[in-house]
Amino acid sequence: MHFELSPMESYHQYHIKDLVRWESFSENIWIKAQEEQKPVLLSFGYKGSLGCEKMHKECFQVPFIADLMNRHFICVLVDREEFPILDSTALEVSYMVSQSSGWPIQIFCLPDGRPFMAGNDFPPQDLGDGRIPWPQFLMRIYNHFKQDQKGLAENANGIVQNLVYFNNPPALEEVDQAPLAQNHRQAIELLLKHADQVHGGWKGEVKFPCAMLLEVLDSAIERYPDLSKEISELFIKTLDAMAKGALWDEANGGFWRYTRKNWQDPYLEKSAAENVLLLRAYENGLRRFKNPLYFDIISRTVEWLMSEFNNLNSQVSDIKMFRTKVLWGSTLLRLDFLTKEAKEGEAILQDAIAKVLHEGSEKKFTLTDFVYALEGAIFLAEKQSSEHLKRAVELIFEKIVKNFKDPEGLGFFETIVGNQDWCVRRKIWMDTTLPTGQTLLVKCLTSSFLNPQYISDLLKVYLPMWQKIPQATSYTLMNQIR
Amino acid sequence: MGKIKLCKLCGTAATIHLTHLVDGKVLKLDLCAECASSNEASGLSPSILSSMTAQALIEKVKSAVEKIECPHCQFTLDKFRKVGRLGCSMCYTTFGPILQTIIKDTHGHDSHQGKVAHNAHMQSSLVGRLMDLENQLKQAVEAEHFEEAARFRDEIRSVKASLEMATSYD
Repeated sequence: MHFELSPMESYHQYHIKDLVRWESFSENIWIKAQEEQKPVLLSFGYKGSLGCEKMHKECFQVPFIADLMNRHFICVLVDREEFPILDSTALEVSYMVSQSSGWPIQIFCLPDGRPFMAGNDFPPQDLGDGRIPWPQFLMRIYNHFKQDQKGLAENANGIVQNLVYFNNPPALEEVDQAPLAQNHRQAIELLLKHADQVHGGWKGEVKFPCAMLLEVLDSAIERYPDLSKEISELFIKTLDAMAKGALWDEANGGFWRYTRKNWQDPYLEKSAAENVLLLRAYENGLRRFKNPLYFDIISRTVEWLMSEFNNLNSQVSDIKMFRTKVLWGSTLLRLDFLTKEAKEGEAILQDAIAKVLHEGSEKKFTLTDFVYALEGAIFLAEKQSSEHLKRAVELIFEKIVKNFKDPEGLGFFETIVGNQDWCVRRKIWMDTTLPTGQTLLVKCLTSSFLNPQYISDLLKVYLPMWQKIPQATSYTLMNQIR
Repeated sequence: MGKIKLCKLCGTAATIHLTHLVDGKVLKLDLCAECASSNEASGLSPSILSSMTAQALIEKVKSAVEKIECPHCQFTLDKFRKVGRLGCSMCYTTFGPILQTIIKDTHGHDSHQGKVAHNAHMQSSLVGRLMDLENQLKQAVEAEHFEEAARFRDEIRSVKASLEMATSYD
């Protein structure tokens, strides 16, 4: 079972039994690949993922397969939690090439780093399910590399061009107030149209917790009185379905990552950060609908998270845990009516603010890290009406602009130059199961502490997205947009 | 509707009305089913019975009890003895006092006088407490008194734990 707060050992130590000679990700691997003229395999996964573990056991621990990999490839094992930006690029590439995503992800790159082929989980031999066996796939790739590097380079160029295109999606020239309001309403209506009115959540048998969308809907109830009944019904149905179905871990509290069949058949992994976000959705539900069930769910989720954080307290400074801890800090403060640990939330946020202000120039922090800290600082400054904290909010935002703003185009890069560099410096526009830096930044920029001038730049990109995939832009739809 | 006749012994509504001819005189006696089926009928005071003999009265009463019929399903005591169960929901009212007497004759009491498992008492009181607390929690949540709700939640947990322990001893 996977928890985001995983054991102390690194991902490499965790796979010590593998016979593949795994390298760690660094710029040196490209130098080595060019010296040895070998293609590079980036294998992305995370601790406890059932799919990843299966492939490690069935392929990477098998002598003849490991031998093939060691002889013909530079093999790099990448922990998606340690390198979230590389992982997000890998997801894009994997989807581009195979129209499928999910972990593990195998990306094959030319020695200069450009990716040319991708896949997910492979069996060790032919199972008759249409999937090519891993050893066979490896040999095909290697033969292509030996015989047709030019063809592979064409593939790689196409992939890189697509990544650059995703950085700069179609945008509006200007954002005016009237179309903004109209587009916002249409986006909320589209969200409702895509909702599963029968089972709760959104259409499709695979159900994700959708905490951020519930927050967005909650904020739309007052704004659109004529939609409020429909929104409330969906809100209640979804909260109830999550709490009463198999997404909820009745034994230990907390929610699993998703269910495969209409809130049944859960995928038995939990993410601390996703659970923290769900607390916010249930808090909104509790205040609005006053259902004791939601009170119980909040209490038990808080307890599960407390025990997880306490068990791994020594890892708090870990960069992997930074975002989760900041989210947790803000949420603890919001839930001060419920838990005696609200003070701890304040300490976490103060610590996060200090970290991004004093260590923020270090490459390890991403835009999303900064924006999570910014959200926490805004929350704390509003709660305590503190001038000192208000100044901290401004300083964090100044650092965001300095380190991440694209000087030539719209939006913000996800990384500081030199951090997790791999083929393209990425801008990440769409959310996954957690908010990405840019969507959360739109919400933060609606705070009265900050100059809203940057919102319109971001909305030039987000408005067209609202009309197609509003569910991937979550917090940009929060109702405070001025 | 005629005037309701009351039982000569206990004063409740009478369901048995006896008419007996003794020494050329007509004697009337009204009894409820409970008094009629109990042996107290044999202790009727001479002033009430006048010249009626106690034994004759008892026989008369017994025969009258046998004739009681459920007004809804026409079930009788005789049928009850044969099939071992009653005929309809109204039978419980019609034959209730008689059944109570039968139970009393069989067990010596018409309510439980022996030992009750300690756990059963405790469980019952815990269940009651739990229901109260759940109700209080609901009200606290509705009033947005979340600190109070948190206290009720903690108490509910403790009661649930005790209840679980009590159940595990069964």
